[in-house]
Amino acid sequence: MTQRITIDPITRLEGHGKIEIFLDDRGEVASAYIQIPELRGFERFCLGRPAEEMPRITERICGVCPSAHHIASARTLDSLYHVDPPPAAHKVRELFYNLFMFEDHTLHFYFLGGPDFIVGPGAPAAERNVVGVIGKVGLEIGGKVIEARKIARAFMAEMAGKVVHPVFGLPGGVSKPLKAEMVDRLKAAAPGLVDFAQFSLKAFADIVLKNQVYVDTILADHYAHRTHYMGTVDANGRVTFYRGRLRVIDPSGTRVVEFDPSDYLTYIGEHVEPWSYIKFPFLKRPGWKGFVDGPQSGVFRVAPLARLNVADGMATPRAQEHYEQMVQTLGGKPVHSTLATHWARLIEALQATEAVQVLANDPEILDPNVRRLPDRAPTEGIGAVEAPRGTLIHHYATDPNGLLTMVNLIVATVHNAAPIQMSIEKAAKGVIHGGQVDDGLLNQVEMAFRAYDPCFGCATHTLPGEMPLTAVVRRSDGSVVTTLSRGGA
Amino acid sequence: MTGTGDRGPGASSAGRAVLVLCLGNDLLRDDGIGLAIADEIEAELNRSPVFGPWSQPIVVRKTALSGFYLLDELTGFDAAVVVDAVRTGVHAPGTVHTLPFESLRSRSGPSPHAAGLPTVIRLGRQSGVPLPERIHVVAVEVDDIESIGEGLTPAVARAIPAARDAVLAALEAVR
Repeated sequence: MTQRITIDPITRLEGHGKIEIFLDDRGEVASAYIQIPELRGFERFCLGRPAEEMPRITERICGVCPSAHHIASARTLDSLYHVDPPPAAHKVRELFYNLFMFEDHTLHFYFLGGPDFIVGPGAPAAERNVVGVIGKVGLEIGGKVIEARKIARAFMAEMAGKVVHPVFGLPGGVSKPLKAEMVDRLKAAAPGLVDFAQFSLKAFADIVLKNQVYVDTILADHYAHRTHYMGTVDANGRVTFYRGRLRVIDPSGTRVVEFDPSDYLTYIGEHVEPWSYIKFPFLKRPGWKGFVDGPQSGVFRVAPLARLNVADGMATPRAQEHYEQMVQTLGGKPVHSTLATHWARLIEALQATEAVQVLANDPEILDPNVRRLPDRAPTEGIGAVEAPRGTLIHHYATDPNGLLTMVNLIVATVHNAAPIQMSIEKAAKGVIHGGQVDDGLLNQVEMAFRAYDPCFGCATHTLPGEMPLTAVVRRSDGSVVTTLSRGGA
Repeated sequence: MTGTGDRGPGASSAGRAVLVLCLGNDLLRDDGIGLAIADEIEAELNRSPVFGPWSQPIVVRKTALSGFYLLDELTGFDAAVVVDAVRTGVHAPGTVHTLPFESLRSRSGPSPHAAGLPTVIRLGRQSGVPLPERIHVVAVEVDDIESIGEGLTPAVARAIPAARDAVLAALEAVR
């Protein structure tokens, strides 16, 4: 039986995904708020379950980056069970994770964030998509993106059992060593991934950096915030995704603190607002001062640009060249221009491919010793990785039998919740004047949060799967000036 | 993908595979209906010879992914049946909808990160991504997709046999 039905976005997201913009008597923006959907109750769902199930549970909360949750959870189990995996196990995980970072960043650039730049922020809405990207970059790019990611994902599946929901991360290591035959194939494939990442950066340079209008957009003051930044660095102070120490810098670039992720509660607090389900993380020093930037505010940012800001440089040579070019082009570190996140993302994708090449050629990657069995009772564990969208922290506690008594997850979108809020308001103030709002202006406000790539993946499965976003513009008395909807009926 | 089942002689045989793509998250109660149907389809394909004469293999995939990430699951197939949960708000929970993909409206959302399947397919096709030419949709009206927990609500669980039959019929429609 075939029937035609009309599907309106009456989903669990109803009432969420809302921007409210308040105008003053002159029609200028007084304030703006965004409500971000949040999956509530997940931590409670986990309580009483065996901790070793967490890598396979947490990855299922997210329809976008399950690999990040899986690896963060495995790192947390290492801590919980007081066991450090053998070197080869760390390298296998790191290899998998770099493949993931490449494929995720690549998809984001071409299909999600790139259209704002490659097509242009002023382009009609109908062209601000991947088709517009193809119009600029070339007809074959859609297939190339899929193919490059397919290669990376095939290796991920081979290593981890399943590419979307990996099953190989265990406390103390991974479930199986790599096969020499697979590593040989990866060695052969890795240069192609490096080439593709470089191609993406060249496309960005040709299309975006050679267009002064685009560069001016990146550098526009209404897309900038002088915040603190946080990201993970390796032992040499370079960008790393899998493990390292969390470094925080202030808006001038001065290092404030560097700490092991297990000490996160010493440095990070969570502020609660009555109008949002989300808690807003902040640096305990200098403390929560509201949704403001500057050295006296505890607001900090994570994500690719933050990682590049806090690090002394990239960990691989080709990525380092592009890093230096970015810093020079944008006027030195730290780069406060939110939209530069897209550029930083491409540089990270290149580092990821170079890291894959290095790890694939490391003889230790084939060491069969990939698991150290825990021999102590679990107590409490904290683990962190740099997810594509920023720092991801898992924190578990168990009873002596390994059953969970406490679970706390801080995902990147939550770390960035306050800056996203601030960016929305600043962009709105920058582009909306005299009470005039239209589709193009709304897009420029939306660009402010697209750069963060806030993750709604855990909340968008039912057909048609789109997140409706409503922008409500109100006068100072609360009456509605206009309502613009995207993805709505 | 949380699971892949291949049926038939493999993708290298004459005729490319037909995909049954089952979407959902089994930690969000009724959002797991697509995955439950996938299990039924795989069991059906294992015990029934009804699809034996086909020259095309059938691949059943389960995934919790969304948005443009679904392109990875859909590429390389001639035809597909997409199975998912839906909430229209006007039909009783457990109602099985079956419809050609073209019936779904493609909307321009605020962020491509949250793009729906119609938008993903439309833009993917226009981008030269090799996507199925024929797609049919089987969707089950759901009740609870807000609670975190396992297990379907009773009305939705009772819809599994009808949904399974709808998928098998849809396979005939797209082959």
